[in-house]
Amino acid sequence: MEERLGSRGGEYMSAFIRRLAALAVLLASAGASLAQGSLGGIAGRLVDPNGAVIVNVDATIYVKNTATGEIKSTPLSKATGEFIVTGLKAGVYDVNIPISSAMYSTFEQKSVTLKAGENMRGDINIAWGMNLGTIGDDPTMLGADMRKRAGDVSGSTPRMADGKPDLSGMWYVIPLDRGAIPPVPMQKWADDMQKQLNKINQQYAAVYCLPQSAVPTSLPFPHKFVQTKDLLVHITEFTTPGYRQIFLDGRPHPPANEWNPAWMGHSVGHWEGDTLVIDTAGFNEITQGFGVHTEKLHVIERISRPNRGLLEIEMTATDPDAWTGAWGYKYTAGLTPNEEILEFVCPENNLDVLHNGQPWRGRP
Amino acid sequence: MKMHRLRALAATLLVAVAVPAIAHHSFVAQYDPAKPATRTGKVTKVEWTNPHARFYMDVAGADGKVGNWHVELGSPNTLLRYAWKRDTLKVGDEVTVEGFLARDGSDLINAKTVKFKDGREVNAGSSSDLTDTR
Repeated sequence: MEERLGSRGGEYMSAFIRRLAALAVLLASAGASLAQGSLGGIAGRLVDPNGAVIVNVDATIYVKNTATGEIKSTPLSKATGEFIVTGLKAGVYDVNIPISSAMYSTFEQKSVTLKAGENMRGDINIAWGMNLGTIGDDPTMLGADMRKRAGDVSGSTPRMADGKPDLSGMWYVIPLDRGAIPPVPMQKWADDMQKQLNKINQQYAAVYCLPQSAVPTSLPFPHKFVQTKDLLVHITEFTTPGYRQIFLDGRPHPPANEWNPAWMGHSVGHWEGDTLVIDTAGFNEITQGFGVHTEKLHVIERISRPNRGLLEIEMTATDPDAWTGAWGYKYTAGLTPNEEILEFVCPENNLDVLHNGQPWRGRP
Repeated sequence: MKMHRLRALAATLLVAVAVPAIAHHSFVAQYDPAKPATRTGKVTKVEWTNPHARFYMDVAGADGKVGNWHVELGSPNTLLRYAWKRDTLKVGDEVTVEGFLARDGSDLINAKTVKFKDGREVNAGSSSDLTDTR
């Protein structure tokens, strides 16, 4: 395979080459172990922009054979930061390393050609994630710490007077390994527009203190559910507007001409056995977390509380005008009874918006 | 053994599609990961504001001239949930900040750690001792 360097630019290149040379010596002796006859492998370590090997993170390397669609995965060693994927046939592979942390970015490289019996080794440079390695606002870390001090949250599902599960409580959504989130199946126009948004740095409304997701349960932040028979109140910290009303009284969505499309849409819920099914429609086309979509965006969340300490959420979204099929994934939230929602008024002193150099438009 | 490498991508842009934002702001847009830096100065102003707390400090440059640096921290909620108290940082404190410099070359740094003269050290918003904010 010819050597290719990424678009990250020269700032990391020289250090990368130095590390690679050092690693060559380090790994040469272990080289034979990867090959199994005609099968090959991919191995290496993840390295942060300061040159340090990344350890103690939850990450998995996914290697997808582009011809067969077969995916092999292996977790990164938390202790050494090393990964090794073996048993790969000759072929073209897409390599993906999602890292569940705001500190690091996901690594992705498409079309890596592996010859028969070939071993591919090297350090992989991981860019800083959104918080640039400052351990300040890393919700993954905050959530892990909150769940750690939650204490004993075992017990059976709490129930309302009518026998339905009571979802009330303080919850912290457990961030998914990004490999578990499939790409949105966009139609070409939507995909083109998404690329354009990324290019002009208009993909993060959060920079402007605007809502971070159309479906806030998907955010790895503190959440509170307050459930009554006819209404579920959902409060989310660290995002705008911070609340959502889910009507459980049997009302339908309002008629389209009586509803101004909204960032959070309009949510109604009903019970299917012990599962609350939340149906949300009436979104605007610039709401976040679902990529490029239209006002036809329609989201179903199926929420259950199989025991006191756990919420299971299955989210499915469709948009016939922008996507080619349904999109969704499953995730969970842990009970964090020792926490409370704190006030967060994002625009109070948002200097970051000044540095972004342009107003929010939401569309190219 | 033939050596190969995998390229690093500007992944911050590539992962933006459909992955819920997990931080309030993209620090990468504003701060340069290739510019880690340390600055020592005397605190002149502390702002416990959203979305991020900030403080300002006078820093003497190599030429002896004093500049007022702007230090960005995590959100007040995050700071309070960890080791920070409202009076952790006071005007007049002498502190050393480790972090990343702004891309635009201004006197602005995103703090990773704040060290005090007496040896105390606080992270910009995270440590193992989560405090109770109920």
